[in-house]
Amino acid sequence: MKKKLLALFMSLAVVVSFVGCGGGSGSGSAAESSAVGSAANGGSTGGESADNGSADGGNTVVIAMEGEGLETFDPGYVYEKYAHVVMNACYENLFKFYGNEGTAQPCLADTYEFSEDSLTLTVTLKDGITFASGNPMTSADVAFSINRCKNLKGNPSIMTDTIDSIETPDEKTVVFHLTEPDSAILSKLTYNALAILDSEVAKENGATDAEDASSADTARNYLDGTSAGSGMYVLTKYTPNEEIVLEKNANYWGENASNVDRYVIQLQGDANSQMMTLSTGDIDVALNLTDDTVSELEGNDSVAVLNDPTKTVAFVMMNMDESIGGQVSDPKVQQAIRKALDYKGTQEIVGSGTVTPYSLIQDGFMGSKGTRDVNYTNIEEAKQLLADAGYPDGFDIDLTVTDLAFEGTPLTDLAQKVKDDLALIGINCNIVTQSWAAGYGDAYRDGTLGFTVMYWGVDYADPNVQLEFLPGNSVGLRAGWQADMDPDIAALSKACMEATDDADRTAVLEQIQDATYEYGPFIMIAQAPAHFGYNTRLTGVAVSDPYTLDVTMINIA
Amino acid sequence: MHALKKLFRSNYLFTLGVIICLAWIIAAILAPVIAPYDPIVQDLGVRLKAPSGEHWFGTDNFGRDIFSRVIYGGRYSLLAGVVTVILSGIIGTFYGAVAGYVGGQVDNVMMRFSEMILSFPSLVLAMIINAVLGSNLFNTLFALVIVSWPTYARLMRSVVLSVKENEYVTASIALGAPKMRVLIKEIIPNSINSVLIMATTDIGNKILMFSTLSFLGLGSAPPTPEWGMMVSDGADYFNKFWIAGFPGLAIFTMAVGANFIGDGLRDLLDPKLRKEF
Amino acid sequence: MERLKFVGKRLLYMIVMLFGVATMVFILTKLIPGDPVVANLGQRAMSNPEVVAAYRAKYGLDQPLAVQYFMYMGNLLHLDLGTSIRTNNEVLFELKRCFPATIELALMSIILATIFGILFGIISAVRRNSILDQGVRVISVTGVSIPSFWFALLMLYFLYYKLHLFPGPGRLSNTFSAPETVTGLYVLDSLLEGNTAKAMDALSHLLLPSIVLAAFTMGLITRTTRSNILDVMSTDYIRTAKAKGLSEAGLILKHALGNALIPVLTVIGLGLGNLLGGMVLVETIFNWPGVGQFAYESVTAADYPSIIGVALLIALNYMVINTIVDILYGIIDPRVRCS
Repeated sequence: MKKKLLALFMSLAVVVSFVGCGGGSGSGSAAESSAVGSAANGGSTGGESADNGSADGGNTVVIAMEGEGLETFDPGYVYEKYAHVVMNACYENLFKFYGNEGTAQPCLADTYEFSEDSLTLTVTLKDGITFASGNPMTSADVAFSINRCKNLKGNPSIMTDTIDSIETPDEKTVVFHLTEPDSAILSKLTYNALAILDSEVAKENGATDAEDASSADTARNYLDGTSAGSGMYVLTKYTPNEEIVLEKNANYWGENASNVDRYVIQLQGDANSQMMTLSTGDIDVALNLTDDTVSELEGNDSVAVLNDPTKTVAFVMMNMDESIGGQVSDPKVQQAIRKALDYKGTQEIVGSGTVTPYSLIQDGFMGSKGTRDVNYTNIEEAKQLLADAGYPDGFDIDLTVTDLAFEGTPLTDLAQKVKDDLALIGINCNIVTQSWAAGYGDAYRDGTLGFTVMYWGVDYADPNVQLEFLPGNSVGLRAGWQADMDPDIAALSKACMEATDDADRTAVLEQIQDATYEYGPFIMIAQAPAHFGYNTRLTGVAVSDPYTLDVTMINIA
Repeated sequence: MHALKKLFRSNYLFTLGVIICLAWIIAAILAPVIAPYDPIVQDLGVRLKAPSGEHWFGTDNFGRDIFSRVIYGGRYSLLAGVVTVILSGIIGTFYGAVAGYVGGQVDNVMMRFSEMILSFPSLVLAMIINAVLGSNLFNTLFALVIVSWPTYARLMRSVVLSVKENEYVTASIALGAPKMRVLIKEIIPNSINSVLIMATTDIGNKILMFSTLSFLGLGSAPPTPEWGMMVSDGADYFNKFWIAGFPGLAIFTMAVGANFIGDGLRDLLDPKLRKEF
Repeated sequence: MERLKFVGKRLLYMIVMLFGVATMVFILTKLIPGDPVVANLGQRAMSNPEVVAAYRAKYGLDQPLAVQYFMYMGNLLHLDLGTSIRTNNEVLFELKRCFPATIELALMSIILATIFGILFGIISAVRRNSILDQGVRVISVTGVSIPSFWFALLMLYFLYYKLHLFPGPGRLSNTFSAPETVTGLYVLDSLLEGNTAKAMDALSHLLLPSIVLAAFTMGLITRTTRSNILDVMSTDYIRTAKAKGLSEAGLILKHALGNALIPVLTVIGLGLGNLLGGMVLVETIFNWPGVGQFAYESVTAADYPSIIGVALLIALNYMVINTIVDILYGIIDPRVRCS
């Protein structure tokens, strides 16, 4: 027995010395990082992280972003917001958004043409496009990629809803036959899920574009760890919850717009860690800062900050079905709530850079009427409307909310703000929290929520995404808004889809916004900003709607 | 009573624990009198203000007074600590007593079941229970009871096993007393001491666990001023240390107080049990 | 022979318990009112019947519950834990990925907790009822009373953010890339690569979270050590030795400690079990890609194969550690016989 105890103590002693080393190294690394920090603050332009980070001595840029919820980098399935940073770097589409405003521009496409009836789109490919593997890109790759996405029936397959079939008359030409006119088809084709895959490589690894792809395709695990596209970068490493590494595509066919050789993307979504590592120079770009952390970075000359609006909106939803919405299904009550909400205060809660959209279409989209006046709030009018509706003393109601965040602002914060605002006109909200996976999501989908605060992120950068909020469409139905309740508004949805001419579409979009400015089950309460921070040694860092951050535009000065 | 007096005199930490806990209990009861502001009503004009004469503990994201919210928050933590310990103590005591008393296969199956719950990470189990039942204060307490009772059952069983062999118990059984009666009249009263000791030391743990669940967003819906939830709100405002700092300090002091009391009582009631925990 | 039978019995009992845990969790997750399809599809796709049907078919969610259960249990028999609904990877693969991170952290914290716990316990037993003893008591009560999530935030705020004494969240500084996976423990793998700087970096990242995690277990170990030494000191055998004129401190170190540490072993075992199972918060706050974080994400996505996988892993840990402690007990202390 003594021997065993002796052994126990010996091992403890070893452990003690081991920990001793640990303590030493802890302070050692702190010294290192503060040294880096002071160098950066001293206005040094040299790439500290580049020198440390890259094995081969090239230009390395370190990005920190939220990693939770990143599920896949397979173009056929990709859907999560932050995955697009990677997808846009590694793959290319027929069309692309260069910047936030304006329309989709040809990327892999050379020319394109719509038929008279808008039911056929013919695209010709540029010459000399090759994949990172060296394989040349042909129309067959295009057809394969888009058919695969459609038949996988994953999240993004909804992008292909209006694509009936694809024809490839020759190696350079792709003909899309549409089921109905779709004014957003070019925008949809920019979406990362419709990126063009190297079909040869993909097939070797189990991909198929056949009808039964949703069960037969086995390429996802392969494509989660590497890329098979024609983009400027190649995905070389993905460690979930830890890091993603992108290396320059040595075979890139186009012009290299970025001088960065290697991106290391740290999956660390915590705003405070991002702020701290950015200020010490450990990282170059932080994508998930908050209003509060941004203010901490003020005065740091080596760091620049962006507070630009995204297209993500938070909204209050009041069910139009009386059996579900109760009091809030009454348009008068809905208008009273619209008048009672404090838009200015909400902007303050969400943070600097927040705007309030005019109505259903976000500020910044084509055809948008801009923002709602923050002084729209009028408590007296709201009280009057409530009295007219038959509730002079207000009423009690449940306000359901889920555990998600709206670009960093918890939805529960917005619900608390709504509760506080409505208390002023006598509506007493009882906040009920329900987790997304444990019931809220189902209730939201099935349209059984009476009164809630939710958010909506656009999946492709086109105002037509917002048509879902109209009566009879998917989100409209979640608020119990049937097409026959407001046939005139419902008709605008179809008119917008068919307006392939931009001027015509703008006119329809404006009609939609006027019709929903003071009417309907939705009140858009805030359009969230993104808070980015980056080291000033970089140029070309911008908030991108479709890609969050377009890394192919970044250069080291 | 005399022993208690001696405890006060000899064990300063016990005395300190009693003072802390009494202070929190008084604060919770008299919250409306003590709190200078309404814990719920927002005032965006003073949001995120550092501690000052106006707002002793500063204000949060909505301009609510953190001192007032902390004072009110004691109600939930105290309630959670006491209620879960009492309920899981009662359930565990009966369960363990029955298992230990009946013995044999029944004991085997009963204890395996409680071990299954014990082997399961309590936080994850509580999260699942909350997901199943919905998230509110009542269900969170329920989840806490579910994950807590097996510890009591295990302790009670082992105590009953030894008490069972005592002469007065074997005598009662020999005299033909009904089993249930023997269990309630003889065995439980003679074993309850250990459970009581464990319960006092457990209150601090339960307060901690409740705040942990609340930190994860399980528990009452906002704007209820629950401490765990307040710390979680404050974690988003890292450089404004007071938002998470003070509610966290509140949880900590209450748990320390409860543990000091538990420690002292344990020394007093059962010197032999010192090695249990 | 007796011992072998004992071990065999424990093993059999472990397997039965694991099936019980799997069944319990399966039922619980199926009681969650949410539809995993909704939890894992986007806001638009979840309203598209075709996409939803394909998704259900892919993960077998379109089968009746009983069929799902028997399929799951059948697969479990040949160690197939199924595919995660959330990540589409094998659950076993996910667990292999995140378990080493948890082991590394748990080992580090149990080492810290053991060293300081026993040290403090000895000090307060030797100098019982002195100021030092009171001080140790305060430390140990603080350890078991401090909310880990708050402690973690405090440590990060002061030691990382304000004083730059420790590195921040994560397993490695971004100046290093993860070592090749051999054991999955970054410190060890970096050493195997021959990269001492990387190993030191990994070690320094371990410190803050493991200190936070060690606090609770350390408190328990201190308490147990102290009271057990005092118990042993009051036995006849020690009293005799004392009467022979041996000094008290010498006695404790030479004779009492050995016997007193046996119950401490149980506490260490239980502590390790808890650490391997209950680090959801600390892992989340320190962005530590371990089992706790995986469990949390799986529960939020109603990803039932993953939830069951995690539950089985943690239950297995708990049982294995308990069994080992029991066996060690039998070996170390001849009075305890396998019964």
